[in-house]
Amino acid sequence: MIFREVEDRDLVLAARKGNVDAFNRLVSRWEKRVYNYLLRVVRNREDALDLSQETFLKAYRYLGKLEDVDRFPHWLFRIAHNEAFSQFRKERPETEVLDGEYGQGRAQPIGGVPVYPLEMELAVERALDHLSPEQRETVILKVYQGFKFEEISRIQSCPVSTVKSRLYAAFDLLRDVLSPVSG
Amino acid sequence: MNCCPYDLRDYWFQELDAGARREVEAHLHECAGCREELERLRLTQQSLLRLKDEEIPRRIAFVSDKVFEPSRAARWWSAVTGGVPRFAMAASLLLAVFFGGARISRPSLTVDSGRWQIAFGAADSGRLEALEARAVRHASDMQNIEQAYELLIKQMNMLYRQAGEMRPAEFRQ
Repeated sequence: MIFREVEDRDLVLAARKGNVDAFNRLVSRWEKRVYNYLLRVVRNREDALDLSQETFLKAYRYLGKLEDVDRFPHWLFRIAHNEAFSQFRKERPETEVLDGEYGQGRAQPIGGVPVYPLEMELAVERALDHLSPEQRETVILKVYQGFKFEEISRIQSCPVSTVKSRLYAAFDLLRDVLSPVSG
Repeated sequence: MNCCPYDLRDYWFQELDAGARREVEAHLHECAGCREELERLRLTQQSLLRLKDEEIPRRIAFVSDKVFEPSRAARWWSAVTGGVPRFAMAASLLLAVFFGGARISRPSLTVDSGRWQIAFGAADSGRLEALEARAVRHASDMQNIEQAYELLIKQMNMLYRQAGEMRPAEFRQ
């Protein structure tokens, strides 16, 4: 007998037909990734949790509108992206965040070489703080979530060239900030 | 570094096709500067990956949980109406029963001896005539009583005046 793990697309198709358990399985599969993505973007656990809940609620509501079921992962992250950036706009409605606005001219290497893993994590968190929300999100989607440029461009609703410029600028900055840690 | 045939960062992030990757790898064998650049990218990414995923503090509510249910008001409205078409059909049926029943039962309201009475069914014309005749008789009786009373008063006054000794003044009502 051949056991095959049920793929996301099968679960999406079943959920669209009203199979509640299928959607619950999708939630179980994706909740940790969505939560960690949102946590690194908004940098607040409670907010990340609330936004994760809202993301899945919307995904359930609009699942019928997903045209290509194979694109479920980045469709889900697109919803999460909208939730996160909608919160940014609510918090800072007067500020339009532009690429390169953050961290320009203030990227300072993190002093000392961290010894313990916790120190390492704090150093990386501080380094990510030097990035703009868009740059940080691009790093998260590429490095931690493993999406392709094409998929990130759909999530962020921007050209692939913008994705690349965000990521490469972020990496240049991170390299300078993290060099004492990684070196 | 500009000497690499493709952007080294595209290579590092695995965004090149197989042919382009082979070209870059051949170049890396030759170019120490590009190898150094690639090492910097690796160290930066390695540092970033020290940040581990967190466990979710509490699980996301499932579809069967309350958070996915419609609001209490929406559930109440849904229970009452069961959707607009069902609501329209139920309302039509109710109105039909009301007006149909009223037409069949023909309710009538009467006041008899100072009491309100509601009756269903067609009003009986004989009964109406009897009620009318009874009212006429009642009016006639009342008139007769009044006339008899006035007559009685006159007779009593006449008797008082004839007697003279009982009262000087007329009998008063």
